Amino acid sequence: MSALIETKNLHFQYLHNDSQESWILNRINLSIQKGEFVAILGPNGCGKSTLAKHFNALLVPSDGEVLVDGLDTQNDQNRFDIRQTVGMVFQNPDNQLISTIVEEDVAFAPENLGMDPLEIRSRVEWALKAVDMLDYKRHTPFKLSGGQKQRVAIAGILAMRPQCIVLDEPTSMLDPKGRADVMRTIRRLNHEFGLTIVLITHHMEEAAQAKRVIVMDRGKIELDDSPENVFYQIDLLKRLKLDVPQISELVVRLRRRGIHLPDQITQVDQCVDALVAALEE
Amino acid sequence: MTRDITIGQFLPGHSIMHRLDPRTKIVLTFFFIIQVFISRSAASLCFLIVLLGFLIASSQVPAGKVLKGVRPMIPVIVFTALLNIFYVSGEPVFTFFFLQITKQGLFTGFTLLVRLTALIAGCSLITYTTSLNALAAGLEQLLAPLRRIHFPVSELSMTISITLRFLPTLAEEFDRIIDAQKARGAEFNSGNPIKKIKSYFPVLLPLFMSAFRRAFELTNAIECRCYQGGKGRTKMNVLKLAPRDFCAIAFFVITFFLTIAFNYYFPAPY
Repeated sequence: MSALIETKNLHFQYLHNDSQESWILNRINLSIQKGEFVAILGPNGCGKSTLAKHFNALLVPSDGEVLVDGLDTQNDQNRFDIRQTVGMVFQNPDNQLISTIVEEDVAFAPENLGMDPLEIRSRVEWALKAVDMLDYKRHTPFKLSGGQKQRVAIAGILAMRPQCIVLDEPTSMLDPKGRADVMRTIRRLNHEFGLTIVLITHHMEEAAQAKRVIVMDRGKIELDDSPENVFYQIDLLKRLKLDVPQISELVVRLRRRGIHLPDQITQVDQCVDALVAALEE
Repeated sequence: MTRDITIGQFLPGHSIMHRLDPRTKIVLTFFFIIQVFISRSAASLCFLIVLLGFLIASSQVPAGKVLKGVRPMIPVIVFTALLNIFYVSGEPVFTFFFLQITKQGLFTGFTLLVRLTALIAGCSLITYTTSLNALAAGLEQLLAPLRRIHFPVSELSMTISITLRFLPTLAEEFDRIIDAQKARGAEFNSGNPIKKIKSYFPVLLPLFMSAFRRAFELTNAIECRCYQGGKGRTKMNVLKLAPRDFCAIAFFVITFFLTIAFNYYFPAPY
């Protein structure tokens, strides 16, 4: 089986005059399989948003290539299909909603695809149900909370029935409740509908929910591993000015003091169990 | 902080007028305007007033609200009426130096007063009973035939719908910038008019910057959702004429002919 998204030797720079070493994206080789849940972490300006925009041909490589479901993003004729395959959700929900009525906003993408009105209606209902916003379909987005707006934005992408959704810091403008709701929706889309998820984030707790974490710095991929392994690279995370999850820091420090704790603890309850077991020893 | 901004003056409701297809309402509004202009005799004017009363009743919009909507136009109406009173020549009833009021002038002036008031009140009904979204959708489908001559109908309606969507967002942003500048010591309510206008520059500049930033992000979001202009686009909500729409059209055709009949059998005295 071929990968859903594949980058081969991807380089990118807005202006081509610098040397390739200092480009925004530098020699990115990546392959994301169908159904994966990938988080991309990295400090500000590391190129993670730029990379995400390559996944659905909003940007095209300056050098190298990006294949989405086998289609080259460089080719103009593929763009329509690529954007149907990989949908993208951005940071600010206000700047993604185009209609004053929720259901009309969600209908926007299927309308662009030229679908039959009945098919559009059923997709809109399905998408709103998938993000748990069906009760609000006749509301105006202006009166919704940030988390609700962001879920409507996700529904607007879902209505295209993409295989993959790329989310560019979808929770960074939300309150804790909205953040939790959006994360629950994202997990559900991955579990229930088998959607491939690429989540760009600053938050370690959010990255911990993915199956695979990619850490970027200065246009390069520094780490690409499971969250369990990535979170124990404490020195690297600190050097990149990323928050080290409290749990992994605690476990590593205790281990340095000679207390035996198992590897790969990322969740609070796992940690509690391990500590209880260690205390009983 | 959040202002509840309603653009236009739509009053949600379930009257027959609310439920009519927006296209019917747009076309019938034009019908009504023509009717106002052909109502020349006293009888047809009376009929026009009755018709207007009936329309207001069927819209369930409070009559006071409709008349309030006419209020800002009163100076214009009165001025037009007065102009006609003094300028129409004919049988004089009152002369003062060069000023002359004639019977014909009085009649024309008075009919204009009634007609203009009816015109504004009647046209405002459509804005009270139709949301801007519905109006835009109706307009889009009415203009659809213009696509043949390459008039960008769906692009136009997309522009209107995005404008409606972002006006409240930008208004909110405007408030926020004003607060931010006040917090930095800016004053907006003092000084002479020129100073006042100048004090708004530090608000407008950030507002424009933010509008452009939003526009760029919106462009990306729209491209992600496969927008490529009006070509091949379909709509989820297709407007459909219901029996009540045909009834309304028939009703207006009848009143139209009645007006002509009133004009013919009870002609204007002058």
